[in-house]
Amino acid sequence: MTDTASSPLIVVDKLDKWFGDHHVLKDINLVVARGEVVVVIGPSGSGKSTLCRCINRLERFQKGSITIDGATLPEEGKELAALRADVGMVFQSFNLFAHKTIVENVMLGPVKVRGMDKASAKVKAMGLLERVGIGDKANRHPAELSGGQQQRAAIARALAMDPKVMLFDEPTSALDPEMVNEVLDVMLELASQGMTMVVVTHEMGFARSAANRVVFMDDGRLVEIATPNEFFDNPKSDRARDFLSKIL
Amino acid sequence: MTSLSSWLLDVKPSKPGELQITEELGPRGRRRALIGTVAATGLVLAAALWIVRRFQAKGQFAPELWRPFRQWAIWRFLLLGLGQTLKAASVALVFALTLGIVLAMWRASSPKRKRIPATMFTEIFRACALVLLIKFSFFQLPKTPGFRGWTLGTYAFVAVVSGLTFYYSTVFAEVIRSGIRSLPKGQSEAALAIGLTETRAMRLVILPQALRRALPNIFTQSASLLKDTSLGVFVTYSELLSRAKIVGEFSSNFLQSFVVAGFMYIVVVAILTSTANRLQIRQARSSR
Repeated sequence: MTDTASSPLIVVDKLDKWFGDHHVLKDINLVVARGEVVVVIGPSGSGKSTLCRCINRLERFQKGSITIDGATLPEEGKELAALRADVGMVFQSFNLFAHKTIVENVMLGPVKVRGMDKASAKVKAMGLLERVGIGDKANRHPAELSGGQQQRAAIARALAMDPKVMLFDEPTSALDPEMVNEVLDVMLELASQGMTMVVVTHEMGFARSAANRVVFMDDGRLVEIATPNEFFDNPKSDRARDFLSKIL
Repeated sequence: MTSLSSWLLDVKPSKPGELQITEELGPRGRRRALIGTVAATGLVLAAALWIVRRFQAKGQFAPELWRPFRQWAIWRFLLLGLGQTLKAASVALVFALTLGIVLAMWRASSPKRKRIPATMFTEIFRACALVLLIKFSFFQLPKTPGFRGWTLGTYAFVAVVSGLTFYYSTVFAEVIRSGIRSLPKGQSEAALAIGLTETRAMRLVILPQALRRALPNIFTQSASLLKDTSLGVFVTYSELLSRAKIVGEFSSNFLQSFVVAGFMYIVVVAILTSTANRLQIRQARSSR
């Protein structure tokens, strides 16, 4: 028996990715421990979203490896699908299934991937929707909800798979300002309950209050990894200092 | 005059859920539109008048040429032909849509062993003249082992249905594929992210939405398919047009028979179109 409690959940090892000639990720090494919240920040085009999408292979990469809970990420097919089921993903543009109601969105994965019966899946889905505060919207279609409500539904959809880790790819960037906090609150609660999270965001307040570690990326490189206090109060690299001076 | 012009130029009030892209016209626009409307109406009336005059000059309104259509037997004969038309059209529609969905799914999927055959099938049969496919099936089927010994009528029916199926499956495949491509990429990414395989993501998330978007086009193409059953005339399939031709030969009134058959096509297609419009409006209402 290996000691699963202390082994890392995600290991990104010497990752390189190119879009054509463009080298978007350069020698990325990152280890995420169980229950850890890692916030990835950096300027636009620094590769942070791409890194996030590589972790469940929505993006292919050319070199290096990613291991999740001890298993190397499969390249394709049923094995890849099975692994993705354990990795929750929340997108910038919500991506709720437009032809299904909110509760059907949340039930789809448990029923079709986990083989849960519809009645229990519905109970579970309703519980999750209550938890993110939109139980009353269960029978609406996504287009009838505000952005903040849609994003909370998307979080519930990801949680319904009982994921080992949640990936957030700029979850608040497409929201109107007044809706940002309702989504961040749900994420803060998740973090406090011990969910392992990788969060790509521009919300520095969230990074400060929820992150165990902050990862700063620039130009495809992982420039700095530090605790939030270290990073925000005393950034080591010039580029991080420059970035922070522009946004804070 | 003012009331006539305002009636002609009134912007159609939008029904709920219907997209309205026309802007209310300014004074110069109204004047132009009025001139255009009057001119166009005049042209259409003139053309209609000319046709009627030519008909009269050639004696096509002569009562004895229209008299056959006062007999129930003639109507019955034509209506049974319409029944054959609808039968071939609906059977072909079911096969063509099913095959079209499979082709579209295969063409949009990533493994080459599905994508390449589906692409070849679509490109080849879309480029074939439909009448050629029908004639080819009609003449080859009786020579094919396992298909021998049917009646002529069965060969004709199967030839029409298979010709329509091969051709229209490629048309439907393209229509559905464009529906698939019009969906935001995020839909399939989200489906993959919850652990669905590519095939199930297609079936559960992408295809239902793509079909909904393709529905207006599917209706338009179904109307074409229905009218193309008239190519059955080349293989002795006893549908509406063949029978109108027989009536024409029998009573020496081809023109009148074809006019009657033409009206029957118009009525059936109008029913199909109005159903499509109702569906579209209801769908627009439910999705926004």
